[in-house]
Amino acid sequence: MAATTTISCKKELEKFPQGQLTGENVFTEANDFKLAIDGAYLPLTNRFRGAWDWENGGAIPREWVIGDVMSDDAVKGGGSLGDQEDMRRMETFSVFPENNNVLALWRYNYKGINAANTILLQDGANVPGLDANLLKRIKGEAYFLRAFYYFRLVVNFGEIPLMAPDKNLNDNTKKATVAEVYTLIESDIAQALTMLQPSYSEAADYHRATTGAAHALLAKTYLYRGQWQLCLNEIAEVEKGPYHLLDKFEDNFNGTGERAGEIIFAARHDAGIVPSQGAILNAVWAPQGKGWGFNIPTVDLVNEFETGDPRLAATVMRAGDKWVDGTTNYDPAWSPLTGLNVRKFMSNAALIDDGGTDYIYIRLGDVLLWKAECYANLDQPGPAQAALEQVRARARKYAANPATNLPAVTTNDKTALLAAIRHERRVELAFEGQRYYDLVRWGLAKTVLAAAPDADPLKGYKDYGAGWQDKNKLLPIPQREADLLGVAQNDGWK
Amino acid sequence: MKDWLRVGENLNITYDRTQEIGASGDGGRAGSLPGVVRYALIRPNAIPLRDPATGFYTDLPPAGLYQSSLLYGDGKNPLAIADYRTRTNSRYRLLGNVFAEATFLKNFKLRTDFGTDFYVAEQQQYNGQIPGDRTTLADDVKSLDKSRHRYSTMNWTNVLTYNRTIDKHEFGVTLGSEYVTFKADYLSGSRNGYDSRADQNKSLQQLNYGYNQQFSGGGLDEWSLMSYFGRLSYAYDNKYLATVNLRSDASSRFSEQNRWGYFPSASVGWNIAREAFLSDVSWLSDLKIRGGWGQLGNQEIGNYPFATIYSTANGVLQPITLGNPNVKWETTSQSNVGVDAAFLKGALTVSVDYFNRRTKDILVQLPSSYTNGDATPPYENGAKMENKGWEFNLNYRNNVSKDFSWNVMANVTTLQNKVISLYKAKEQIISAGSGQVLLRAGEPISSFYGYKTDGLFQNAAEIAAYVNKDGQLLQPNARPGDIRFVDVDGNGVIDGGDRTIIGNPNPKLLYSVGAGANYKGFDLNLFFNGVTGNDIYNEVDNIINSFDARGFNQKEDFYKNRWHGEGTSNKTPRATVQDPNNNRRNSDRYVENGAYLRLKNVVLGYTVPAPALERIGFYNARIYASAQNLFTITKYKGMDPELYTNDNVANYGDLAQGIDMGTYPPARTFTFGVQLSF
Repeated sequence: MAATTTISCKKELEKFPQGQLTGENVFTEANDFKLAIDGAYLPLTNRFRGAWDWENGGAIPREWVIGDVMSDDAVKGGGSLGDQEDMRRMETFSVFPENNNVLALWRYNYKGINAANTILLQDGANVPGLDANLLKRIKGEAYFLRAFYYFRLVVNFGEIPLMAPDKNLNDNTKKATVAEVYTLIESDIAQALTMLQPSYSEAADYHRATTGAAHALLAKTYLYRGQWQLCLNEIAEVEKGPYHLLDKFEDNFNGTGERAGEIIFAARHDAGIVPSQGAILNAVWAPQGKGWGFNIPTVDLVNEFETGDPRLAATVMRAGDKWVDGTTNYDPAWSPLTGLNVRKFMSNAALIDDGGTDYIYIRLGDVLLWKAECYANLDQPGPAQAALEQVRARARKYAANPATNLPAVTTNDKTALLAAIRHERRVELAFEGQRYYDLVRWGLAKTVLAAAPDADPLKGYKDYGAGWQDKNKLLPIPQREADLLGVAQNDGWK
Repeated sequence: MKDWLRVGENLNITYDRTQEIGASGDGGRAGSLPGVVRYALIRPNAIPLRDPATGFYTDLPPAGLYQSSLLYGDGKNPLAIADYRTRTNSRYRLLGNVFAEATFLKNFKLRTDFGTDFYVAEQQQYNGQIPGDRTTLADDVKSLDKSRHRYSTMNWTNVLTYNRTIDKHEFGVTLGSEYVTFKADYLSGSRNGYDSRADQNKSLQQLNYGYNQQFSGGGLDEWSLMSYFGRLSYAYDNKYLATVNLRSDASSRFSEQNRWGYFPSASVGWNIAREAFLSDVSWLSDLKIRGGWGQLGNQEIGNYPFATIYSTANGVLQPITLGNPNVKWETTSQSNVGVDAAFLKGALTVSVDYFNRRTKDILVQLPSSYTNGDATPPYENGAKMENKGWEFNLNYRNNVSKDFSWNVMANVTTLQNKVISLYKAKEQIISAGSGQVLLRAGEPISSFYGYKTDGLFQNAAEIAAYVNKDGQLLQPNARPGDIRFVDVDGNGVIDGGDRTIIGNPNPKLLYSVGAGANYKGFDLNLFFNGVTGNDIYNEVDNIINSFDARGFNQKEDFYKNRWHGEGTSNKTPRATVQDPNNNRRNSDRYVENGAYLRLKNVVLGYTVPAPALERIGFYNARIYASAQNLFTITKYKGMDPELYTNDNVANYGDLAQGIDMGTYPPARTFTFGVQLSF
């Protein structure tokens, strides 16, 4: 008896996971690669993050808290002053390293990096049914996405651990310098450019990273580093691609223009799919009662728009507008703080948290304003005015009075021209997660987001707390991560 | 059957059904229900539970009340979740065992046992519209989840024993093997699309009634354990005793190279009372000295900790659990020395033990940095820990007369807990809500970690005086009435480096005391238990007792004790919605003394005298009344210092012990009963 049990016991003791893929059998089918690359896009979408794990930065994407709420374009909103306390701390610059929005930013961008790394560590060459061109595209996307996530991290946190095991970067306890991060980003984009295609014809693939997106992302990294000519070189490459400004500005944000030619890179959302691929931010930004009532536009933003500018109605919902269903009258009482609500990206989804509008990261309108900014900084007002005029002309066409509204900018004075470009970026790109980062890189955050004597904390009006300080150039390393990795905290947050 | 063979079997069939509500935590963890007590504590009690106009539960204040959203929070209605966020669990269980025992060659015995524990667990949860709730669910998304899981454990044990006595020498040899195999077969279905009739009518809460999408799920989990064990025992004249054991266990939960664990143990005893020199000592009826050392293994780490598991849910492929093929058995080595003594013909027994338990390779899922993605971290053999202390037991029984007797018992255990070393020698900080615990070598496990406070700033001058060596303000954002935090690391700023150990959730002393008395037909029994020397981190107070901008409940405690002018308080800070000083941060402000003494159980009974019974045909009758948890003496301000449930943190729940996120307290139960035998 003892002999029988001994012989059979090895087999009896081998129990492996059932009905699940494991390290043993994953990436042996072509479909795994397709699903894995979709996983690498997931952290840049505005989908629900799978669990209401607020404390650990889960639940919903938080990039808008920095891009929009921390700027002068929006206030937090929500159910009450203290609803999402940590968001209010971001808005009022009383950020602490424990803030769950800071952790969210770290966590999900690294999640994207890990998803890209998972693919880049696979050879894939001998997987049956995996077409070589498809594999090449998938790897190209992975390089692009890794660059995309690292760029977001370096802009927000500065020095960060670099994880790219395919390039022997494995040590997460050491912070890489900002220059080292950009070196990796540049090399990833260079690799992506050799693998990606200029566009994808299949409906299932239209949102995937293209060579145009890679050039545009690289251009943006140069813009943020103030390397104007290098930025222009990349913009020239973007302009060779199949991009043009849409006739109507609002079509970029209401779902109708998603494949029409202005969008260079966006997070894809489709409503009505099970499991949901819609944007939960559609609920987060919808008024209380319909949704959660966060990210409330300020009156200050509305005042920035020039008379007759049609972009105002496409950006912000006000008294007299229709709600996204096209029939209900928008009631300013829905938004007790300012009476306003975001219009961009809001969609009339059957389920409010299943928004179907793609969330734009890079579009030609944005790139043209980079171009204007680069030329202005290089003291070439002519081409700067020309790029700026492309953007203004599109808006002007549907202005209340095209003959007088939104006149062309003709100044050759560098300061005035840069001011005009800044104004244009604010009205063109509000609620696209750009404003706060623009203010920081322009060195204007300190003056625009200063402590205001007439601040109204209850309404969020100019409620910047003690105001933006130099340390706010970067966010603190999330305390959880600093604790676990043992990496040094950023300057000013120690 | 035959002289040399015995066979037997037993069979138990049970059915139970429970209604489950959320007992702890905020319901944020997947699959958990929101804690009813947590929300009872944080919901502002000015908001009625029911709308007087409709009679429905209300979540938002009813019309006409508190229209400003600044005046109410988003805490859930605790009664509504207790009624509508529940699930029904039913369990059908069959527990059976057969054995055969053969005696042969006079001193040999062979016994084989085959047992099975088979049960089917069903769960049903309806997620419908809570009438009056602010979250309105569309019919399309109202859903019903039902699962029927089948679990079976089978074990087969074979034991061969040999016992022989030669004069005063007693020998024993035991050899055995055991095989345990477990299988869980999961099947679940859910459906959405329920109309409002289903919300009102339980009979419509079935899968068939849903009209929208249906989902199904299923899986299989298995583990098995193969063990061999042997024991040698020897006794001389029942005076000197020695035993040696060795067991080897192989678990399917470890990868092949780490599958086997070997766990020896040995013990010796000296029964002094049987020595000749004590035979005349009449007041001492028993005296024994014991000593032992042994090792035990632990493999409670889920079923496939070696494997990295990928999910393809929601149309994306991603790793969801990271595996660690190097994970191996956790081993606890325990040494103990003890004395048992009995006096007064056994009326008084006393035993004293000293124990030292060292656990190495503790299996734990340590939180890992999100730079590695956010898959569930792998199990590691993460720490080495020591528990040592004394245990005292005392029993005294006094039969005063035929009609009256009484007895007391007491058990006291002292405990000293210390982490000896950590995986990769790294400290680990684990968060539960706003609380944090620390694993640090040399310190008790799960020590509370946070900022240290030093009273409040009473005026602007005190803030201005709180500077570092360069003359810079340590707390530039503070206002009078804010908390002064201690610059523990002395680096001149208040930052994460100033967090330090601020409490210990491990009791230094655990005790229980019981007493009983019988008088004629009456019997009375009392049982107390308690702990002392431990702290509790009152996490829920971070929400309800630290006034901030969130529209949650606030305790009167805060209102009465808050700082509202120089000298009014040096402990509870001012009320500020802005809280620029972050008074709310995790600090010793929330650490409380967790000691308690609880009357766990009291029973009073009366046994009806036999002659009275015989006439009515009963053999025995007893009437009794009992009460559980009748009172608790504690300084702890939360609901329950015992914190007997912990659903706080996924994966490392036990490590976040002592953090009170609003735990459901044990019920005070009164029972009256009659026991009849006939």
